[in-house]
Amino acid sequence: MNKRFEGTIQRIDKYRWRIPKAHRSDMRVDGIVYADDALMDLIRNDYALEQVANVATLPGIVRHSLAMPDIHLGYGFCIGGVAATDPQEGGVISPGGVGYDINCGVRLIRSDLTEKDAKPRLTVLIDTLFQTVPCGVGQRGRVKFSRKELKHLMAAGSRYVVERGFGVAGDLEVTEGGGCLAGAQPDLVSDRAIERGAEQCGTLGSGNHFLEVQVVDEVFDQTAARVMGLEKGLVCVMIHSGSRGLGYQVCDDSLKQLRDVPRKYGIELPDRQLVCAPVDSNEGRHYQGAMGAAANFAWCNRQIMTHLARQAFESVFDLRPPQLGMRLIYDVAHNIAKMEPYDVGGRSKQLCVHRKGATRAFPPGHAEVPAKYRHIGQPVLIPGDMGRASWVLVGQQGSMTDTFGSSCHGAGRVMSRTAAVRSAKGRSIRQELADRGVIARARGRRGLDEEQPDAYKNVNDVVGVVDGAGISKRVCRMRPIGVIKG
Amino acid sequence: MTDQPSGFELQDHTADIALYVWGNTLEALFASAADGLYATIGVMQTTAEGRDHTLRLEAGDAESLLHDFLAELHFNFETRGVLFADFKFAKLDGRALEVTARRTEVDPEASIFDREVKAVTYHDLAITRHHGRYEVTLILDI
Repeated sequence: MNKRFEGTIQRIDKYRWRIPKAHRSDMRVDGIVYADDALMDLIRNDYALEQVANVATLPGIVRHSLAMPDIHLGYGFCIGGVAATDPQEGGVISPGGVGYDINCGVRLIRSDLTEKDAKPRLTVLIDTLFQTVPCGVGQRGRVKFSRKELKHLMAAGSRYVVERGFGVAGDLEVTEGGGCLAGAQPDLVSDRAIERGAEQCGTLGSGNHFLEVQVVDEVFDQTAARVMGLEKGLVCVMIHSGSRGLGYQVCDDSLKQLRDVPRKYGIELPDRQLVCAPVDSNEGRHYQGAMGAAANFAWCNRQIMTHLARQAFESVFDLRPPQLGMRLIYDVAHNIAKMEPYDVGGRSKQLCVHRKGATRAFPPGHAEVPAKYRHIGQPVLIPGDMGRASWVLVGQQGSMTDTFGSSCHGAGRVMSRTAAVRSAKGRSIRQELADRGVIARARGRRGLDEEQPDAYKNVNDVVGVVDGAGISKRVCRMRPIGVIKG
Repeated sequence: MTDQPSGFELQDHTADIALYVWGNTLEALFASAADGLYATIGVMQTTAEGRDHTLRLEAGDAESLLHDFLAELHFNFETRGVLFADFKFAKLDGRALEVTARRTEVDPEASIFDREVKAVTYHDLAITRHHGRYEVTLILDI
């Protein structure tokens, strides 16, 4: 399935490469890929670069079709893809630029516990988290919402579940967009999507989703770390999940509704997964409304799991919330399309920014950054693999000029799931992780094998590129000590 | 293996699962794709008695029809634990299908599976015919 990219790719500087418009007659703009030499050697072996070229054909695309250094093969857009379109220039919105897992994202919760405090009870903690947070195929959530409640939840986002007791008001302030995408229209979410999501709010899911207990391993920016309440040796919780079956169904419904729409607007596409509609069209607005509702569901999903994780910590360590200090540091979406203002040719324009496996990374001073972080920049959370590291970065000015306020979202896979299963044959990934100091629990048969550390690029290399390119800056490296998976 | 009249293989794809399916007839292709979807999730169709259930779908082309057929099976599994087996097609052309299958149920909460399929994608979805054999590669989002 994987074909090597045979087209031209030109070096721009140490961290950037160009797929020139001349690569294909249907490209409207160049493709720009962020990578160093070593990462580019891996990236070339993957058909993802052709997907960057495919995205460059979308009507109304502004400046470039971008890919972050964690780029790998996706469907429609590559993973790690960023594209902004201008509605005034016929710009389109494409569900393929968001993905099935609408508002898949990451959040990080700090604590006052040190690794030394946690170590004696760590196995109990991981087992308790594994029992408390539903994960894997077919596992129902601990909280049931009626259809009417789900509609309110999808309209209001995180605030709805916080008001129901799943979290504290301070959580909202440090969630991207306050945990609510404006313009959500729950009435545009199909019965099927509601049925798939009804029992899944507050469930982790499967695949690359996880809940990890981590330790701050090294601090690179003391000031920013202090502002976030992070210091070396502190225990944190990272949660990676999205909109579950509800979001997957919203995407699937939208792709079906949009099947014949490109033809209606005279849009030719190289891949039917890129079906799209002008942002300013009934079809485009319809998708935005449904996508917003699914995005809000995803924020509620992560918010409920945050509550469950806090409860697990309280019971295992027999401590009250003020003693644990489990404050949410930030929550970022990495599969989303948002209307954001950017300077285009000296004019401020509202662009539709697609981030498919890419994280918003607004710099210091940006009005959308919570007041407490405004002087350091928006926290950018980058999960790595289960064995190595994850990162906390902050957005930098380069993201506004070069990447439509975006940075990478993870390590990026380098090995297929099938190859990972082959490579795990005769090994115990769980034992290997234990030998590295990581207690792992997984529900599915394949979870740990497919998600083994070797299946991913080294996240440290990926982070080195976004730091070096000036689109985000290193704050802390985190080391996993326990993980639960679907 | 690929010289069988119909079948499927899970192939390498960096992030997701590429499901290569073949069949000497369009009916065999669709039925093998269903088997491949269940195998990707890691759920076995059982031989348990089940009542027959008929599905009817329409779409603009064969690829959309295949997508919709698999999406229907996937939805039934995820929300109700329903599995279908022994597909008998009363009608299958490029635009419509009518199929009867044996319907059984599993309890997903009490079962362990290989992996969750988020969706059946349309990425590079094209049914081709070589030497009288239908082939398709489906990318399943994991």
